[in-house]
Amino acid sequence: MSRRRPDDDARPPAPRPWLRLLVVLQLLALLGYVALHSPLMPTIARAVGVHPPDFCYFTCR
Amino acid sequence: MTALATLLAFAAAAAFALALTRYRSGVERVVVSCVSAYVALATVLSVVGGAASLTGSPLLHAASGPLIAAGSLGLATALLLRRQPGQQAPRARWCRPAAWELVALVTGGGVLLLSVVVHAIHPPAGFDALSYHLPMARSLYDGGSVTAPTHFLHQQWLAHQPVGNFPLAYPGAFEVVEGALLHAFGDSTAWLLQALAAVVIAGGVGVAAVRLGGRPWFPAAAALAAPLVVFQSGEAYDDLIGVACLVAALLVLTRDDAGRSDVVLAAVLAGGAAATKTVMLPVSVAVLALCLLRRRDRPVTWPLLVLVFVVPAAVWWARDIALFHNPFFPVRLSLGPLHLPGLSQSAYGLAAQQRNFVPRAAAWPVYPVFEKYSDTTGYGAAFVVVAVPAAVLASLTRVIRRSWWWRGWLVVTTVSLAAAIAFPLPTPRFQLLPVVLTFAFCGSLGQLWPGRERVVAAVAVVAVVVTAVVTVDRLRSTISAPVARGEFYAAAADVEPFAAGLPAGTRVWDDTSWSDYAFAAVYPLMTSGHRRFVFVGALAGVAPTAACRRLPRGTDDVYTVSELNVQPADVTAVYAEPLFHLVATTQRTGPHRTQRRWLFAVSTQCRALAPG
Repeated sequence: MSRRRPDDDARPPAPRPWLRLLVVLQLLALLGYVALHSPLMPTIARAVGVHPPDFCYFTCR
Repeated sequence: MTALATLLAFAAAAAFALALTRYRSGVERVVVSCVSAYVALATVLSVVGGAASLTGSPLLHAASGPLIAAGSLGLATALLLRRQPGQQAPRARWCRPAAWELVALVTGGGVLLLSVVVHAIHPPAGFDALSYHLPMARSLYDGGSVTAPTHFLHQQWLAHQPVGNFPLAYPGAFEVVEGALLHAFGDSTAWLLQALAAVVIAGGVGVAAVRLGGRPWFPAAAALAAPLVVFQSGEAYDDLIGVACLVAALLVLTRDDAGRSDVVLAAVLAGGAAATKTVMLPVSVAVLALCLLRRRDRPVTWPLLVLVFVVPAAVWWARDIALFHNPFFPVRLSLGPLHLPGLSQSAYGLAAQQRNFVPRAAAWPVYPVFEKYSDTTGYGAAFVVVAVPAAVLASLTRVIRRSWWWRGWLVVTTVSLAAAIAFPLPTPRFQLLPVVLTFAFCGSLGQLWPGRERVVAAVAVVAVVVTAVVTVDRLRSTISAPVARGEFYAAAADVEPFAAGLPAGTRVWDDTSWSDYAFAAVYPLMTSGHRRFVFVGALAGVAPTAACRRLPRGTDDVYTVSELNVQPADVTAVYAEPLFHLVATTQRTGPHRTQRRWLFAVSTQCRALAPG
């Protein structure tokens, strides 16, 4: 993670197109992870037909 | 005196490890020194305990074990220092952390520290810790030998009775060091070794990231923040110690300039992991195989490597061969014509554990997305969101050099997953080693995501913060738990105060027939206030007279826990009047379950039926 200086001669490497897709997938995975570890989790579990676990995040013990 | 002897033993182990690693430098030296000190101390104490079993004198008892270990390690240190000084490795300086790395590091370190403090102010907790790690640690020093914890187990085995607390037969490298601490400083230090191991793992992952050509800070932060690491760092489990041994072994083995002594040291450290946790044996053997491959251009003979690998666990395996005819007891193995007796898979209940995590086996690949957080599961969001994509990118592209470290990661990950499927071991904590090693790839975001590293860094830091927030939420129940021992164990370990208050010297039979949670009662029953003797077994369906014959000689009381679906008559049919007297019973409703706890007194008439 080095910051580029304006006087650098080398041009920044061109981002590969499929890397953009990977980053989008990573963002979606993070969103999914957050949703499944939030108070929404029992609702999501029921929506996909899975019995919700015996605890829920942040709301009940 | 005991405290002083234990301090001396730890100091001698540290001096030995520092002398052993004097040609290294930086964080790598700290990581390898800590793990080497642990393996050295565990090995020497095991040998003392083994000698005690052979001679019949309790050498591990009180201060004698640590004193002998201190003397032996002091002598070994003096011999090491007499060797000609070698060339010290150039110090690999770590770069300064960027702001986002600092946020991740402070978050990960903060949540780990919170967990350690919360666990340190409460009595020791954790199912495996209370059921066998801490009882074994106590028993080793109370009995003074390595056969003390397995004495009753062996009697049950010889009598063809169900073996009660079978994990007491596992190798006890961790417990023999933990026991010295407990004996000298009390069980308020039960968290210490695991917490140190968590920091050592994070340091090792950072070194690995640098070796891959990346930055150390985020990988170290992600390892610190992994919920499984956070929860276990406060409990006397042995997963973190075992993982730390193998991380250090891989670091030593995969140096570009690894020499003869590095390959030998790596084999010893891998053996230390096998002596700590039997389930790590396949991965330890894989690391040994890497040592054998690495020795080709180094003058080390393979018998020497195998020998030094076996040394840390030798005493424990020899004990189990002598008692149970199987070095890996209670694991039953059939290797061609060789049949090693042990318990069936169903006896472990490991296959049944899958239901605690996934509805069906096919869901395992996506488990890290919806994982639970506890001392048995939880890799953190950074694993699935950043580390796995980074490892896949590093494997598919040639951006990262295919060094020995990369090969080590590939071999360890493959063997660990293959062992989990083959045995089977459907528990996320048994994959902790490949998980923390995979975090090392997160140090190379710039190389792996050229032009997009800032977005990925933002995703990574959010992942660590989210993980930390959820972990703190899961820690709330422990934070708010009562600090007083009796109340804590009534809630956390199913031990009612009427059982915890039994007089010193009482011999208690802990019956696990009607609830597995009765296993967690072992340590609180042993040590709440003063020392008692606890024997574990299951007598469901046995007639009262037969029950009396199967109780250990001199048993005073019976404690048991029954689940809500168990009829009380099933319990009272075994422990029936006039041979047993019901002292107290109570039904307690916790947040997730309701149970009944029972205490029976054993009558004189019943005791007279016990075999002589």
